[in-house]
Amino acid sequence: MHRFATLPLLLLGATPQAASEKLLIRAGYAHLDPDQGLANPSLLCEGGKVTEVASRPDPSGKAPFEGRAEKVLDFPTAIVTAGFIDPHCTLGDRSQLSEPVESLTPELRAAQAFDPYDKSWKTLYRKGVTSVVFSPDDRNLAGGFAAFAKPGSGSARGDNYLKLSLTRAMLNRERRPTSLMGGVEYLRNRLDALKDVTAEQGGPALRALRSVVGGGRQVGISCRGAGEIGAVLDLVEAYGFSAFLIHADEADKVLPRLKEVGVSVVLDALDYSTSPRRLELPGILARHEIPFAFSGESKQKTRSPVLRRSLAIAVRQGLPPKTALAAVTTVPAGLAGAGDRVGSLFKGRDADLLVWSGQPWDLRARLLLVVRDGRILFQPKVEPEKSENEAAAEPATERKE
Amino acid sequence: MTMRIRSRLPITLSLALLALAARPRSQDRPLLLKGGRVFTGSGSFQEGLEILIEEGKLKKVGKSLAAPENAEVRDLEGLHVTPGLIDGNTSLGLPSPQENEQSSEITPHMRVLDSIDPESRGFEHALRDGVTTVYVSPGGYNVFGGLGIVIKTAGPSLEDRVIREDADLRMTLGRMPGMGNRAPRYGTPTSIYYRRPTNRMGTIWEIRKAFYDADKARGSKKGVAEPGAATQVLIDALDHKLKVRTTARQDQDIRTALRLAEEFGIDVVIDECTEAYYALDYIAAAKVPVIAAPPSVHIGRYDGEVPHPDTLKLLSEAGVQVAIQTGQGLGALPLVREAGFAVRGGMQRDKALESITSVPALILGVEDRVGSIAEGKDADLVVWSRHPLSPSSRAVAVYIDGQPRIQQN
Repeated sequence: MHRFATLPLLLLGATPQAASEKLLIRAGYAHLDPDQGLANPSLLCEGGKVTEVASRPDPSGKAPFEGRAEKVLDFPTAIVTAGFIDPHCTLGDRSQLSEPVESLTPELRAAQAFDPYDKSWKTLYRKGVTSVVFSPDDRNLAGGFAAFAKPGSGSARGDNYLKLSLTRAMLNRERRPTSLMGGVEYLRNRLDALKDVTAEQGGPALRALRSVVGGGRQVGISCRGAGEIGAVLDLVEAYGFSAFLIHADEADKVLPRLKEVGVSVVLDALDYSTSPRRLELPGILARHEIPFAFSGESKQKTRSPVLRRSLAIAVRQGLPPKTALAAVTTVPAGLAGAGDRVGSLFKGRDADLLVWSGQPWDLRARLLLVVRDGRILFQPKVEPEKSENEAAAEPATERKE
Repeated sequence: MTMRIRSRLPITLSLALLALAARPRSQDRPLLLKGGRVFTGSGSFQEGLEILIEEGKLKKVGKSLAAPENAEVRDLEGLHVTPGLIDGNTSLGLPSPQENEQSSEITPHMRVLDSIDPESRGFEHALRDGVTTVYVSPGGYNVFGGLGIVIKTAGPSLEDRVIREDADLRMTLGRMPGMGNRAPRYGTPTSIYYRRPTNRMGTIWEIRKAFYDADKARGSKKGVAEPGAATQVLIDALDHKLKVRTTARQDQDIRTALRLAEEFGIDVVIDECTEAYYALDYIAAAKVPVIAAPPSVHIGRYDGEVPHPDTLKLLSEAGVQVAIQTGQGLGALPLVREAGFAVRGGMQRDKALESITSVPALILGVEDRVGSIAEGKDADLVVWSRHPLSPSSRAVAVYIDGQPRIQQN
């Protein structure tokens, strides 16, 4: 077993948080996962997990689980979704998530650069992101292992996917590689070197590479242009990686090959300045049944990494809402290797949920509640002016005269 | 690999009116082209020659051919037909004109195939100018830059398009490989660029040492470690499995290239060869092919070389096998226009056409597939509105593997 597998870097108490309590949340509708909805749901959260899910037969009748919760939150017309997941989060340039002196540093762990006090975590959960994969950035050929983290929880687990990068950001005139072909050759060279050493021999870098060859640990590979994507797919086939692509801006040019190799894609965030061509990309991938997720970041270095904006823009571009919702919940959960914990709201899953005043892909809908691991992280107290419908969606217990 | 090419014609008004089909149309039926004047790759244009295309190949070439029943017949009355043009050196599809792995000055094992973007717009521009096959080379900032490829400008997938993978080893003489390097004379070495070579003789020393070491590794006995990837490429060059594409611009570099060829017994192709007019006798005597710099570019680039308009004429008259390139970042015109400039410099028209069709095919070692119109070759053809070397000619149809990639009325 890999030595990183059980290395939780616990930094508890980093952020002030409410204690986990027994919560009962009632709403008008719940997307338990993108394919399965539930009308008038009651969700009971205990010990950080969703312990019971039931539909009320009659909104006026007696609700299930009454008396079992310490706190009941009622949102009669609101919509519940699972917390959003960002599968590739680097917190922009500030986080120093690459070691520039050497380009091949697969043994490094992003968890060790994890700063639980970073202001961005608060921004993230206030916008509905309850899980991220905190990843080395694109500036190294092999950046290291990503870490699974929940914003505001103060902890990160350093045993997620291995991050590789074949984008131009990886090139550096002061060390190798200075070209894409140099990068490919260097990576092949190190991967081929694995044949000459036994599992016990070789340094930590070779051991880290060994863990991904032949489909062991998952690999996330950054690439943008069609040429870079082609080089990545060659590597994936040659070394049997279990891989997904990150960015893949020109994925529309290599669709048949993408499908043939069978990789998923993590697309950059969509924004109001996104080019028309990239706006169409989610729809094209969906039509070709290539699974994709949204990242909260993009080349334009979006300051607030908002998954919800990508979700709304994609739906406005014609993407089916189910596919768009999957791209911020179940698909990234799978890529993070946490599909059985997060991304959906079935019994036994982590109690990471969002309550919206409307459908989350409708930009008019407001976020009314963010719960992570059964704790209320965010619940806006002062409400701006509301429409009648939205006022009705406000929790009755919190309403002020 | 299936990377689909999408043709995107320019949206200029004149072409928009003329353009019929931008996307490749399926051409499963046999196609008979008749009535045009045909240049087969040597000699001159011939009247009455008909071409039958079947399954992407030239099935028959001759006079009064009988068309199969289901064949589509196209009358090319008043038009000219040539083989698809071949550009002897480009940087199409590469992230930069000089794509080099600069972490070392000796990188013969770098493969340009790993850097190339087959979907690059550059291929499309070349295609529109009648170019169907190009040689894409690594840059010249390294002494040994790496291995190039011979690739078609369009096709259903990258695999279908690549004619020769790992073709020709790029070697650069002159000042260029030493340009960014520094000598640690006045300070502490703080970067990877404090290294050899910093000048011409340093470059040649690097080449000699690399070949000397490769030769030693080739002859080494058992028990010694196997040669690495870089050394293996150099051994292949010494064993005549690879040609060495040697960029030499100034007279002295051209002479050095010929000397190195003789010294190590390598197959050299001289690239650019700008000052060839000084060394015609040597080049002809050594029987070394030349892929000449584009004749429209009148400024020297890196080595203080002095281009001359009649270089191609002189090389051709001296009996040297000479092809034309548009080069890497030289700001050249379309290949066929460069051939026009060669004619302006005194080169014979037919020789100029050969230098962008059959001769580069021969030098690149792909003459069995492209570069001429003969039975069994790939159906890569260009139909021109008039004699291709006429300044107002344009490619009205371009076929690659029998598929119409450009077609205008």
